[in-house]
Amino acid sequence: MLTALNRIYAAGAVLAALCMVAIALLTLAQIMGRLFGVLIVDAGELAGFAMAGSIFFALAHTLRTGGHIRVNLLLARMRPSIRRIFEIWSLGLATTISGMFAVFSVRMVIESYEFHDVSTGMIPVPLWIPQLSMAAGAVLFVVALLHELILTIRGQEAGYVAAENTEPYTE
Amino acid sequence: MDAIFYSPILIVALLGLLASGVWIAITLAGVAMIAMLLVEAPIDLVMPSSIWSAVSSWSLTALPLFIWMGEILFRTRLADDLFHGLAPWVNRLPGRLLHVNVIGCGIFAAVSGSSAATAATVGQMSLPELKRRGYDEKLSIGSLASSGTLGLLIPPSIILIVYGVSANVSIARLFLAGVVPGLMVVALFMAYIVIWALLNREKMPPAEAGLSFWQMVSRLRLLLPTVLLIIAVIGSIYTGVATATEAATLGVVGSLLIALLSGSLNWQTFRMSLYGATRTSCMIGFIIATAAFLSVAMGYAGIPRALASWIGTFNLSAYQLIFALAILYIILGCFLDGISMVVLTTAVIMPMVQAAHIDLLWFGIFIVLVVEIAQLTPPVGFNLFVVQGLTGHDILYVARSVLPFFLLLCATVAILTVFPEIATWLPRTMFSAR
Repeated sequence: MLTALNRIYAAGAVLAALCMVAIALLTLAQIMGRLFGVLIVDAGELAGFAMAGSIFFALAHTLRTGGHIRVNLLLARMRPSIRRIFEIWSLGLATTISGMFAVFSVRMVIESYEFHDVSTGMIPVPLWIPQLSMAAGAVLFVVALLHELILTIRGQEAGYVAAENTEPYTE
Repeated sequence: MDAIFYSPILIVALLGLLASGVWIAITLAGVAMIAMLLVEAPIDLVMPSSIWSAVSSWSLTALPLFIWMGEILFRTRLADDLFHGLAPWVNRLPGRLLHVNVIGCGIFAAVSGSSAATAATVGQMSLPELKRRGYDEKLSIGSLASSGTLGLLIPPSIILIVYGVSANVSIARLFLAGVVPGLMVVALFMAYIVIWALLNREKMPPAEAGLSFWQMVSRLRLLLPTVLLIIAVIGSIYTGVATATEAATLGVVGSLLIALLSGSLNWQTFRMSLYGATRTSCMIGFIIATAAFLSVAMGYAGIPRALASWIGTFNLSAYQLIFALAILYIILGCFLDGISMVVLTTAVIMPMVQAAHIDLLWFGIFIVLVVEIAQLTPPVGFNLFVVQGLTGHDILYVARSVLPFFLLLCATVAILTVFPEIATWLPRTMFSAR
C-alpha cells in the first residue's frame, strides 16, 4: 500500500518534470518559429498550462522530500514529544486547508466542463483539461499529507522530517 | 466591522501559524481563508480561480527555466573553472584571492537566480583553497556569504521573477534594473577587501609567484563559455530579441551545451538537475499561488486600502516611508525567507507604495537589496546556513564575519534611494523601451 503510494507521488514528479521540459520545448519552438517565419499558435498559453502542471503534479513529491519551506526555528529547539504535537497540528491544518482546496478545484473543473469554458487563444482549448492538473495535484497532495499525518500519529518519522534532517538548508 | 478590526486578527494568525511550523504556502492560504470568512466572501469560488490564474501564466514560465539552468550549471565544473580562471588576475590586487569570492559569485549570479546556490557553488571551491593558502578565515567567510546574495540582484534572479509576476512589473525590465546595482555591490565589496588588506598586511599570506601574461590570458579560456552564456541571456533581453522566458530557454540550452562539452552531462546529472528544478519551482510556485489567493482575500477585506489611507494620515515623505519599510523588512527578514517577504509585500502593502508614487521598478530592486540583507541576519539567514554547512563554524561566527558586508549593503540601499537612476537608467535604454 505505502510503496504503491510512493510510486504515485514519484509518478507525479515525473509528470511535473515532463511539464517543465514541455515549457522549454514550447518556448524553443516559438523562438525557432519566429526565426523561420512560422507562426507557432498559442505556444505561450500552452506553456502557461504546462507551468501549472509542473507545480501541481509535484506538490506531493515535494512535500515528502522536504521541499516545501517553513519556519522551523522553534520546532528545532523542541523536545521530541512536544515537537510531535506541533507536527500533528501543522499536518492536520495543512490537510484541512488542502482538502478544501482539492474539493473546490474538483468542483471548478466540473463546472468548466459543464459550461464548456474554453481558453482565449487562437485554438479554443476546453479549460477543464489543463485544470485537471490542479484538481489531480491537489487531491494527491492531500493524500500525501494524510500519509504523513498517519505516520506521525503512529510515532513514525514523516518523510519530510527525515529529508529536512539530512538537508539543513533549502531555498 | 472594518479592516482596522480584522488586521490584528490576521497578523496574529499569520505569525502564530508561521512560528508553529506550518508550511509557508499553507499559512498564506489559511490567513486568506480567515480573512474571507470574516467578510463572508465566497472562498469556494475565489480560492481555486485565483490560484489557477496565478500559476497558469506565461510570464511565470521564466521561473522554472532559470532554476533549471542553475541546477544544470551547479553540476558542472563551473566552480573549479571560475576559481582557476580568476585567481591569476586578482592576484595583483591588494587582498588577492579573496576577490575570487566576490567576482566568482558575481559571475555565477549571472547564470543562477538563487543566492544560496551561488554561495554554495563558489564556496565549495574557494573556501578550502583560501584556507589552504592561509587567508584570514573571517574575511573569506564573510566575503563569500555576502557575495552569494548577488544571486538575487544580478539577473537572472528568482526573486525578481516572483516580484515581477506578483506586482505585475516587466521581468525583463526588472532584470536590467538589477545589473548596475549588482555591479555597484561588487565594487563596494572589492573596495572593502582592498582597504582591509592594506590595513592588515600582517594578516595576509605571502604573495605567490604570478603567471606570465600569456598564461593568464590562456586561463581566461576557462571562463569563456560562461561569459558567452551570460552575454547571450542578458544581451537577448536587453536588445529586445527575447522575452525573459525565451532568454531562460536559451540559458537552459546553453548550459546543457556547456555541461555536454565539459563532459559532466549524463543521464544521471540531467535527471538530477530536472528533479531538483521541479522541486524548487514547485515550492516557489505553490507560495506564489497561495499568495495570489491571499492578495485577493486582502482585497475583499479592504486591508491594503485601509493600510494605505492609515499610513497616509502620517503624511510621511517618500523617503520616510522607504526608511520605515526598510526597517520593517530587516526585522521580518530575521524570521522569514525572501520569497515570502516579497509575496506578502505585494499582497498587502503594494497600494501604499503606489499611493506614495514610488516607481514599482525601482521598488523591486529596493526589495531585493533588503532581502539580500535579510539573508545575512540571524537567526534565519539562508546564506548563513549555507556557509555554516560549508565551514562547520556556528552561525554566530558566520554572522559576525559578514557584519562589514552587511553594513555595505545597508549603505547600498541608502545610495539607491538617493540616486534611483542607478536602477532605472539601464532599463530606459533597452531596445523595446525606445
